[in-house]
Formats: sequence, structure tokens, C-alpha cells
Amino acid sequence: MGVPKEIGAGVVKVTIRLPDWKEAKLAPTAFEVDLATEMRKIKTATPWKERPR
Amino acid sequence: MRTIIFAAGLLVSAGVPVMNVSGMDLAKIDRAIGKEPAYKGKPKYCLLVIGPEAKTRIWLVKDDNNLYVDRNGDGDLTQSADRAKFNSPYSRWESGDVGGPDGKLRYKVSLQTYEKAASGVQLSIDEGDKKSYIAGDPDGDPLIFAERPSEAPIVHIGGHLEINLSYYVQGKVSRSLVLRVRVGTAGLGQGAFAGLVLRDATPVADVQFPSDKPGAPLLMTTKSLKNR
Repeated sequence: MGVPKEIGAGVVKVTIRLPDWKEAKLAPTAFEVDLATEMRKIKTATPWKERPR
Repeated sequence: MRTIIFAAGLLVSAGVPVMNVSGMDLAKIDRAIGKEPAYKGKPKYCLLVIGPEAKTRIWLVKDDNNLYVDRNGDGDLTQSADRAKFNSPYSRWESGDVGGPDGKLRYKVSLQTYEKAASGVQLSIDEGDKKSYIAGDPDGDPLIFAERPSEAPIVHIGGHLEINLSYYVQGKVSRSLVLRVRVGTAGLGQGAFAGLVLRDATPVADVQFPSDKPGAPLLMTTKSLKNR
């Protein structure tokens, strides 16, 4: 998706809706993602394939 | 470089709750198998439960190159019909009909392994031609069968639906953070979220980004999640 170029550090709020789903009514669900933190985690994370089981 | 890609599909988030919103405590389900066949290798276990109260319980056991599916849910895996067939062209195991909680619904269960997912698998459950569920995502968080029945992941279909969002990293060099959305029922264990395949619906994401200018309003964008 097109991410605005002028975004700053901080929390991104994502709200998911299902406007055309007839089968069930689910309320919009919101999530907050601290992008900088998440990207840092990803860069230092051990890929799951390599995790001990 | 920071990149975000939205896709509608499947992913399991870390920290999937043990108790789902409807109050079904999957951890309390008895995970004991009545009768098991003589295995060739080291068996690995997963429990599929069906219905709002998870009354139908289907054991899946992966052993060597075999997959056992307790099709009638009686806890006895020694019946010859319980051995799933391997479909070579698709590299997956496919069960015959699996009984539903009302004695009428019939499901088909298939299991696929992926080289990139090591020991993780993806489980597909088809409810006739009407609905399909998928548990396990080879990209983000595959379903991991357990070495003991008592530790088996539990995949719950037909339970309380919720929207689940999580992410994974795409690309080895130019890394992107991929956010994924799915609708389904929380399970117990890694990769156990049962995502419903949305055939007739397109999720929409409203996103608010912080601005890089102090005091400036949030940057808003809306995206239909059409990628599956």
C-alpha cells in the first residue's frame, strides 16, 4: 500500500472493517503498532525456523 | 527503508489467547487419545475441535510419512480408514469425510508441509463447498504439532469469530513488514488460529500514521485488502 512519505516515529493505528460480509457481524477491530519498535524487534529476531523446539 | 504491505490472508499472531472471547477455555480440553496404532517413527500430535462448544474432537497424528486422522472422533486411530491418503501432485495428505458435531456436517482435512517451514505445517479444513478454514501459515507462524498429546496444539473451527491481525517480514535484503488480517477462531498453541477463507468479503483497513511534523494531524489512509 502507499505509505505517506511524511510519516513520523510513533504508533500506527489500524482499524479493520468487514463492510460487505453478510455472514456475521463483527465490530471493527483496532490494532496499534509501534512501527519503530516492531522493526527493531524484527531486525534482531531469530527467524522462527532457527528457534529451538 | 520502511515498507508496509497489506494483505488479507492468514497469519497467526504471537500470544494467541488461550481463552477465546466466547469463554471456551481450550486448555481444559482433555488431550488423551484412546487407542493409537504402532507408529513407524516419532509421532506428532494436533487436536482439531469442531463446533461452538468444541464437542467434536478429531486427533491428527503425523508419523513418518503417514498422517492419521480420527475421522469419526472416537479417539481410536487404529482403524484403517483413519490413515489419510497422500496426494503427490499437491504434496499433501487428504482425509476422507470427517464427522461434524451434528452428525450431518462433513469436513475434509488436508495437511501440507513446506520446505521453508521446517517442521511446521498448514492444515486446511473444508466444510463441504461452503466454508474453508486454514490453520498455520508457512510464512509467518506455521502450525507445529507436538511430541505428546497432552501438549498438542488445538485448532478450533466453528467457534467464536474474531478479527486477528499480525505481521511478518518479507524479503531477506529489502525487508518489508507485512500486516495480515484474518477472521477466524483462536486456538491453543503456535499456528493454531483457524482462519476462515473469506470468499465473499473484502476487509478494509483504516490506517492512521503519525506525522513527522510536530503537532500536525494524523495522516489517514484507507485500503481494501484484496490480496489473498
